[in-house]
Amino acid sequence: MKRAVWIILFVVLLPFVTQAQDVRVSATVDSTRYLIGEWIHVQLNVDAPGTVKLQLPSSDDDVLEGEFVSAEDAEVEENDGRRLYRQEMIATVFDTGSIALRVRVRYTRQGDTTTYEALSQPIALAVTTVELDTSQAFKDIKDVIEVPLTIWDYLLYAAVLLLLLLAAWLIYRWYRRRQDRPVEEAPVIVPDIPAHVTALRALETLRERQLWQHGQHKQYQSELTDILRTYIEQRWHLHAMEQPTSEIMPGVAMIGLSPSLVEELERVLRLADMTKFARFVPTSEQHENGMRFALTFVEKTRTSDETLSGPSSAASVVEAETSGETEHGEETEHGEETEHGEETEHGGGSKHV
Amino acid sequence: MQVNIQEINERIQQESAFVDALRMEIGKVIIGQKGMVDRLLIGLLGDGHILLEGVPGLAKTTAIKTLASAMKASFQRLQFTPDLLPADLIGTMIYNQKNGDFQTKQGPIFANFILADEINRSPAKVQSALLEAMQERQVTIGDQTFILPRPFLVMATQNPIEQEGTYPLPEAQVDRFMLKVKIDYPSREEELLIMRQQIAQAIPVATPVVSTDDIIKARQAVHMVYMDEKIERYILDIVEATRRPREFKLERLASYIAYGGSPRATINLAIAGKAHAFIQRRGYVIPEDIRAICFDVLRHRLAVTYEAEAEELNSEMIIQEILDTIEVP
Repeated sequence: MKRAVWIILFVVLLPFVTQAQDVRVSATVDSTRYLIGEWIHVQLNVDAPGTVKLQLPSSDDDVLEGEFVSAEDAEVEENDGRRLYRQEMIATVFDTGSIALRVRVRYTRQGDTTTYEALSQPIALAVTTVELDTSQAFKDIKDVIEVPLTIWDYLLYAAVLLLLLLAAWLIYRWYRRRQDRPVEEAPVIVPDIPAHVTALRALETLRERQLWQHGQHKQYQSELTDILRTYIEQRWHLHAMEQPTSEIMPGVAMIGLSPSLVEELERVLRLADMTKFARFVPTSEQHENGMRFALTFVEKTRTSDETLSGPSSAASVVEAETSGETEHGEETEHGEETEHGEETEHGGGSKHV
Repeated sequence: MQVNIQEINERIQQESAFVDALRMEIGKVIIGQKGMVDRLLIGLLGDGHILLEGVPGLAKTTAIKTLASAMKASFQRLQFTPDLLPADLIGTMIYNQKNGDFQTKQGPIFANFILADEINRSPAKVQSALLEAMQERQVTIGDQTFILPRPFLVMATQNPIEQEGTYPLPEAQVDRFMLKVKIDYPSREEELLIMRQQIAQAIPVATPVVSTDDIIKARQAVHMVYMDEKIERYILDIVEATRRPREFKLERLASYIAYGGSPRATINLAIAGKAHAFIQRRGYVIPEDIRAICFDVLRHRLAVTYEAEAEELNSEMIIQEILDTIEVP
């Protein structure tokens, strides 16, 4: 019987014992009506056993139906193994209407890693929005408020102005010096050596070297045609050195030279091609004809002395050719000789090695 | 070494006698496209292969088919598709139930003339199989190696448009083609003749005018064509200029060329130059021969940089600038 009484007492008193282990949270506010977004000063009191570790509100999660703004450090009082925490915190609400604001406190018990939470009683708040007076006219957004200038601003402006003045002075000084500089004499332009002079000199040198007479037929024909091609390149700005005979000829034909001269030039170039690329050995007559033609070609197409320093033109060539019309007979003769030479090229007059 | 040019000239004149007849026979069927026909002959005589680029309908297939007909040679056309397999090309081993053993079934590659149509539509493994056969001139099926018929000419085509879903040939494999020929539309007059020919009741057909043996003999004659050292050096200058443009006063091109021609380019330029001289019925090579085939030999061997592409420069423009700068011997 005695044992049963003890059991009943234990069962009846147990909730009070656990209550002693619990955390009690209470929150009070100074008003029940707030505008939307207005700060709500909450006085938070937490009564907890000394063995409990508390996490006082610090984020939006800890304020139900409201938002956490800030909190001051809590004041702690100890009394009979319990601690009383007092903290002033600020919350806010961005919803309108009736709000039941609650504050949440998290805690852990000694020897237990589980996080428990305790909620304050709901605080009934009436949150209202700002009433607009639509009867009044809408006003513009206010202008940017001008910050008054400080001494540092004036110093900065002064420095920029000084730099600008310095730059202007330097430009002025440079300009004056330039003006004062004595006028340099224009450089004397030495006219380039005319193409025909170079070509005639080169032909003369080639003749003196007597290459074909010493069996250097290929070398002789290469140099002879190189002189002609260089002359054509310099005289008419045709890329003769970078073109084969078949490409040079259409360009030369466009210059306006007499057909016989063009024909003979092609014959000389073709003969040289045969010598260079097909081991053809021209006869002495063909070598001499080649040289004679090269000299005639340069002489007949040379620029007149007046146009030496000026740009070459087809007109001056035509002029030069017209002046050489008296040599027509000689030209024909020359042509015949070469024709004869070509006959020998294909006939028995010359040989392939 | 003594070289008798007169003898060579005579031999070439003799051996190349079929060229005019062949051109004439092809000309009966193919109107215009003289450049393509000449390149086909150069590829054939130089023992090389040709990559042809042109929009559809420019007589690529007809040209090679006609060439085969004019030579009494076998011809096969292979349409490259994404699902083509190497075995579809070279052949495979088939189990013979009657004899109870495997028999070799040779693929369509066993022909004198192969038209590999739209080669870039097939994946790399099929392209490799063809290119290997082109290079080795033999095919291995199972444990047996078969020599491909001679002459063996592959003309592969690429469509410059519709690049979606294609497998572009890698540079190393493109290099195996002796020539890459670009074909353009025929002239207005040529097209008029083509139209008339095609709507006529009797479409001309080429008849054999030359045998494959004649071609093999002609190939030997091509090797006899004389190439002077000056021409050899000219070839070297051109190819080297694609590699080191700065050394040839072509600083401007240095940033536009990713890489230049390989030694295979030099070899092919020389062979194609000789073949060009041969079809001109000449026993010696002149700079004109080299310049004539230079674009076809080099255009696929010269890779341009992104910078060049941004400047809208292509390999042909670069080759042209090189030719315009290097002195002709």
